[in-house]
Amino acid sequence: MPSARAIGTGAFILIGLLLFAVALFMIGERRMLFAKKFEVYAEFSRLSGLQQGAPVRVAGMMAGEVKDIQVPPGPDSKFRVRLQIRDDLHPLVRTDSVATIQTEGLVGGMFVQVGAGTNQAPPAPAESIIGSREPYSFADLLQQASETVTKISEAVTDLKEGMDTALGQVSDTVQDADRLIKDVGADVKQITASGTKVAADTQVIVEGLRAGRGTLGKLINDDTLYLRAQHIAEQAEEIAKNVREATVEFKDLGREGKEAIATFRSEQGPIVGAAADVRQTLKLAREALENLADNTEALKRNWFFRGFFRDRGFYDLNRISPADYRQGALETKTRKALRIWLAADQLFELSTRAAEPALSPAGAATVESAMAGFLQYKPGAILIVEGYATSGFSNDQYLASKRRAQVVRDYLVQKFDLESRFVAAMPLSAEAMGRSPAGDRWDGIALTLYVEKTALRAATADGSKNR
Amino acid sequence: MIERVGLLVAAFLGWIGEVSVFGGRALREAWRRPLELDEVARQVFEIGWRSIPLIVASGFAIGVVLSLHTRASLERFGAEAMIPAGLAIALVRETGPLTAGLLLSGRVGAGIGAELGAMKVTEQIDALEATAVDSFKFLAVTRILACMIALPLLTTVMDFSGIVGGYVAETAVTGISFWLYFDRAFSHLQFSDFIPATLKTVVFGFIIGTVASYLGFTTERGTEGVGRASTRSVVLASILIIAINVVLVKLIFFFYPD
Amino acid sequence: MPAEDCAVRFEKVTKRFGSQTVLDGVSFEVRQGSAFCLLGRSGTGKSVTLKHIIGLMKPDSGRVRVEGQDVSALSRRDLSRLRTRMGFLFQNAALFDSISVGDNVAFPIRRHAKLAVSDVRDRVRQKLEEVGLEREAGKMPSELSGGMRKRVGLARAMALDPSILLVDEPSAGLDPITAGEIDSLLSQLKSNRGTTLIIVTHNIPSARRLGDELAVLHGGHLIARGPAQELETSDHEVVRGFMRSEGGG
Repeated sequence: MPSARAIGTGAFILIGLLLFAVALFMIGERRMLFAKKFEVYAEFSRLSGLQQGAPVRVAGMMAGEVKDIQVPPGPDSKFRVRLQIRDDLHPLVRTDSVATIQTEGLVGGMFVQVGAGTNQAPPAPAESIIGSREPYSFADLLQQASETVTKISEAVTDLKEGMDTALGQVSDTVQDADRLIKDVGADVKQITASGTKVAADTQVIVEGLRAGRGTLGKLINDDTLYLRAQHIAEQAEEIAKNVREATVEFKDLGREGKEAIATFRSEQGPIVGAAADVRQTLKLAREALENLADNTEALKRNWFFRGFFRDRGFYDLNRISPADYRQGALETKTRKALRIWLAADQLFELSTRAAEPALSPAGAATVESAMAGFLQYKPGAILIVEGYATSGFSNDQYLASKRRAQVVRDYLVQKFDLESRFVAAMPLSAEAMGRSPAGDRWDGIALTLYVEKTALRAATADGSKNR
Repeated sequence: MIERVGLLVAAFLGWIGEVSVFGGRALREAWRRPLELDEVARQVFEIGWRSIPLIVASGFAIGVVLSLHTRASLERFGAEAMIPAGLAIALVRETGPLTAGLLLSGRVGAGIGAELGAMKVTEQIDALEATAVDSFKFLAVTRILACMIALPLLTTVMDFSGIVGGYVAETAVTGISFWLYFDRAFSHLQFSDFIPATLKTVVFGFIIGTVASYLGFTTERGTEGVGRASTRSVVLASILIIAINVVLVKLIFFFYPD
Repeated sequence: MPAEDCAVRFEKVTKRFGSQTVLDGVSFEVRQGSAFCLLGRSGTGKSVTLKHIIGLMKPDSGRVRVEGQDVSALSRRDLSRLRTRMGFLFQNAALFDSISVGDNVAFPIRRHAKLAVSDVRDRVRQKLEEVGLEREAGKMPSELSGGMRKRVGLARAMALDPSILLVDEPSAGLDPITAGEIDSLLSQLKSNRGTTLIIVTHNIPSARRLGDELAVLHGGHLIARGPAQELETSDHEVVRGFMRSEGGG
């Protein structure tokens, strides 16, 4: 029986050596020292700080490291990066795999991401050069998309002019013009709406990125996001081309004059010839642009920006339903609602109160003076123009409240040059949010400002100091 | 005044010289038979095994504190995922080796200084010699070797206790699983972080053993001298460790420039 | 005296500590199997003399020969071998206080005698029996009284059955009865085993009882040498005073 001391000594040495070995193994495993490996090359003209020993991931899995970086002989050749990759991942590395240099987290170092290839392509042989993509800036890409969309809007304006010209020349065929306006006008309207929306959405994302919002590190890391953004940019280019084409066609149509319009017109059958082409093109453009709008919307709602939008409390003010709004969609712990009740009879022309409400001069002054107290919190605060109407059935109430709110909202945006993203109309029918001066119901509007409590406190403090 | 400072400097230099000669002799004698392996093992037990509770407890506490600090700083950058790695790098590269060295110099340096000092004044060292045992080899070399063997192992133990401490602090906040934490802790470690930093403690161990043994062997003036030997050995070994650490870190950077 | 009969021989040994000359050309020899008592007042270099014999100190000049070999000229290995033939009982026993009494006695045996574990145990028991402490083997030195420590020290010094035993102040700090017991242990060793005894003491009765030859060290010189009766009639004042003092301690 060995002595307790001998056992202790042995235990100490063994525990120490074991932990030492565990540490070595843990480090070694990360560096794949004990696995079979193969090597491929990737070429980059910019390294973005990639170093020898940087990790290599295949389809996101830790796969090896950068063994070596060969400096190019001249400015027009590229850095050649030798990638050592675990052999068991070889089936994923195909001849069409693409290597990119990416950032590991927000403060992490650079690593090389090798995308999994496709089944059609054979596995990349060892020592071969696989494809690569230069490091990119996500924000730049989106900026580019946004600019494209602006171009689209311009093209659509052109198109409208083209259409007007064409119609002017064929004013004798009123019937046809009407039809054309109905057919094409709807498309153009839709294109304009979608274009505006795409431009606004991309602008939100680009601003968010530029301001460092969202989980930037993860965003830049994410290849699918990049691909989606790239897709959006490509889509935008494609649409711009289509719309421009349609415009040109329309202008041609105008120049060709009556004869051409004659072919355009067809009382019995479907519209044929050049006009049909225009319509087809416009239809495609409209669909594509709607599609694009969905894409940017999806990107905007992507979980990377969730944090950003969660802070703000909404993705898009216009998409908040009255029901959600009543549930307190815009109320957060740090945000307070300031509400000013304005009665309908003080605001709108009596004659047009229900169907087409219009602000009376006195009403406009009332709204302006009510708004004056809010202006100190703008920009940043959210202004909701709540519409209320008590007459008629519930559908009448809804429609009337919607129109009232919209009129006041539009007036405010235009009058005070407000950022339209942060001002919305909210049809709330008859039932008041909170307690109105008339009790549970209200007839008129309420200007509701959602303001951060901190901003509120600061403003109050300033006010009391000034007093 | 200047003269006194000069004398002090001269005394210090002389002392360093004597300790170096002592240490150099220990390194030479270590290879000469008899190897005194039994006694080395006994000292590894005394120095290593008996220090484990101290090292584990301190490592754990340091891990908790480091974790809280790394969390506070990395959270600002949204790099919470880096907390385990940040903690592990700090621990493995510097905190673990240096703290283990200082702790051992406190616990063991004082012990060796006092033990050998007492043996010296009670003639036990002479008694060893009279029994035809090389007291230098039997007492000093074995202790120096034991320190050199035990400290890297204790450092490794400390690194791990620190990681466990960091895990406990981290899981209290985020509920992260142990294996994920463990894996992340090692995710950014290189061999060049771990091996040189751990092996440099062999030098620390050599310093602790040499200084303490030297002071023990040169103890004079009875029990008062024993107390002085133990205090001095802690102070001087700690200072030397901190000083030599600067050189070692520089040296490691020279050989492993990342 | 022929060299081969000579267990220990000092040849004009001089030892200085700083400016103080402790031994000044001291010469003497000790016959094998005899008991040599070195007398002298405190601080006259008696312990230093003993340490020269076992090579813990080296003379500044002169030679110390043990069994014919020059101690200071020996290689480390030869010195070790020589030391295993000598035992040293220190003034305060100098037991290794981190190990048990039994291990203290076993220490030299384990290191120098190639014996099986059970043989070592038997030998330790035998040595402790000789000093009457066989039941204290498991105790730590700190648990023992001064007299017991000294007996353990003796058992350790005798562990390898040395041919020369160096004893530093055997009765210092002990009561007369215990001191007497130690003396009788020593005289038994001499008579039973023929061990050469070199005893440093200032206990005159003890020296009379044990010593075949007595010597007085004074002022760095050996001022007298010879059997007890001879010293009592010495014409040297200091020697006569010393022999009359009867004092111990």
